[in-house]
Amino acid sequence: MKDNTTIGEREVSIFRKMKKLVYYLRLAPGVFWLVVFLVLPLSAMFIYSFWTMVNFELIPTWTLQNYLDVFVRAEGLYLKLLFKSLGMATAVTLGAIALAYPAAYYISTRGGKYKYVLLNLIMTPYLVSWVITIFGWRMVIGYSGLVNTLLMSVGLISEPMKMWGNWMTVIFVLIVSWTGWLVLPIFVSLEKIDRTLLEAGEDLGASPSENFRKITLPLSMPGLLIATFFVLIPTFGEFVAPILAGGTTGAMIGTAIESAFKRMHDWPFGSAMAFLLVIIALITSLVLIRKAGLRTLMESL
Amino acid sequence: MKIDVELKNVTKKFGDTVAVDNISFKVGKGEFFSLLGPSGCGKTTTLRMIAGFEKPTEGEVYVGEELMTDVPPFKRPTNLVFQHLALFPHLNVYDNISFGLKIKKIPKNEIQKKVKEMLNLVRLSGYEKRKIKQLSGGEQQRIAIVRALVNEPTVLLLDEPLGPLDLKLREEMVVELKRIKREVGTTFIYVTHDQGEALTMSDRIAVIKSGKTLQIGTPTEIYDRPKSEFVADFIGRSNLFEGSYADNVIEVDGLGRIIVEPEPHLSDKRSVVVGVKPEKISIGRTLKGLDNIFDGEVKETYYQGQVTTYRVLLENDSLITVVELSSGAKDIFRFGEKVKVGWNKKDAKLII
Repeated sequence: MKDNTTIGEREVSIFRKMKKLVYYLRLAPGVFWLVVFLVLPLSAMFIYSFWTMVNFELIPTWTLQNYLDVFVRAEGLYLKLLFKSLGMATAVTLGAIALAYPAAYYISTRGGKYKYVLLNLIMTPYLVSWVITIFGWRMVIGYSGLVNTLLMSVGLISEPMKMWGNWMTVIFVLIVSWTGWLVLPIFVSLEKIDRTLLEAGEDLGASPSENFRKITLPLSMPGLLIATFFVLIPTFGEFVAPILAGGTTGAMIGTAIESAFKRMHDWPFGSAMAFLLVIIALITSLVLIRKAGLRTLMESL
Repeated sequence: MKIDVELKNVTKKFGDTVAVDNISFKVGKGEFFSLLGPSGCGKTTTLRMIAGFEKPTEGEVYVGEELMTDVPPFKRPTNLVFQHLALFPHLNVYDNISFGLKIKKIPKNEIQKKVKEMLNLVRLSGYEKRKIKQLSGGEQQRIAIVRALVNEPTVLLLDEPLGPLDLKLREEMVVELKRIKREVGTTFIYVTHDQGEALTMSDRIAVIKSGKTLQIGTPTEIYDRPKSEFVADFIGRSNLFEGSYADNVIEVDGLGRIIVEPEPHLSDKRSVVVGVKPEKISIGRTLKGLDNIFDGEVKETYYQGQVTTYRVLLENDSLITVVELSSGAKDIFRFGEKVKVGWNKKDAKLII
């Protein structure tokens, strides 16, 4: 009798362990993906960021000099670049939201049965590679582009305006390339608003504009936070647009990282900058996720 | 009596469908007025026209003796309690209740005082900071009612607000609503498909079917003297018999004669309908001393504790409903049993 019980208990404990094992095994593909594509490259970068580069040779050292350099090298140029990037990313975010919100609002409230057709129409241009989009805009607002040619031909201007190749061009190009994507999360959050809430507001004396301020806008906040999340973080580290459209004034921290790796061959310094960028992005993400809630975020993806 | 709400020949069409068909009524100050009817009868559309969310295709709507037909909802002295409440999920209880007052730019200390009074009224004092999600169904209900009431509307409109609640809570809320009505004295217009709610709470009821008012009257008038078959059936689920009238007797095909009270102004041979309420019908193996007694066979039995409801098949192949108070001494009749059913002539109401 006693033996039987012991065997029973042992079986139960083995069974429990198996269950646990199966549970962890199910997580394996996801963990594998994260490790190979995120943790490994980030760790490599993290380790490099403490090394030194002497005569194009990586020397494994443990120094914080690279991080310090971000703040002091070239008379604080890199630090300024960091802040400038943050400023430009913020401007892009605000600009893109300002364009996307009315579009999303219009589709959601007036779209009727064409809602999804309209959404698709907005998304379609984004099937084109984003580098091609930039060149497309160059043909429109570039030195000898469409706008200049047209204005000169009607005699409004005597020589071409320099609209291409500065920091404003970068902001413009980034705004137009993000707006379409932002329509989606904002649209989703607007669609979730119960329309009778607006009737309730109206019934309680709110005019349409008061209704928008007091009901629609606050209830679409999750969508706005997600939109911010979408744009702010990738734009902060952007390097394609500054290189293709930024000229001399359009450089961002991403450009500096790129040139640290490719032109200066200073991998440790590039890694340190990149890692700082990752940390800033991580903090911003956490703040936004905390505000919007992970669930709302996942739902609108 | 001062009139708070008046509808004059109001018609509402949605495309080709007529939702409300030439409705007129007046609601007096302080009255509890119910619009009662089955779903899709146009009662909610009528209410929404008073609130301003729908514009009548024809006719006029007056609130507080002013013409309101073209006034948008946010400028009307009406407030609506929505069927699904429509409380603002992003605001707490205080901000929900004060929503309308803040828009009217009422001083903050006065708003605080009023919100407090309102929460007292519905016995939810101290709930100011609660989130809507943290409230139970009944609590949300009360908040929705005071969110509207706090604006001191000329008329409070209620669109089946008890619909989503379970039975027990609904009964509690009926009592609560009556009490609130008594304390604030505001005019209430209440939309419901539940005849019990309407009968319990209303001063007057308008029974609506297919966009038309069939009868407007006090609960007792409507219950005891229905003017149409529909009203008789809908209120109290009367058993209806159709036959030709002659000399205090109605001849029903296949069933026989039903004795009724004399109706002097009815001409002979006229086709009439007579309604008998289920609770006025007696059932038994033998019956004595009743004016009308018929044979029947029990088809369905629902023992409901307090009462037992039977469906009994009569000889003219009609099924009637009989509700009897349960008591230990009485037998419960089962499927297939032959029984007698009967009622007195005073309980058979002619519907003309």
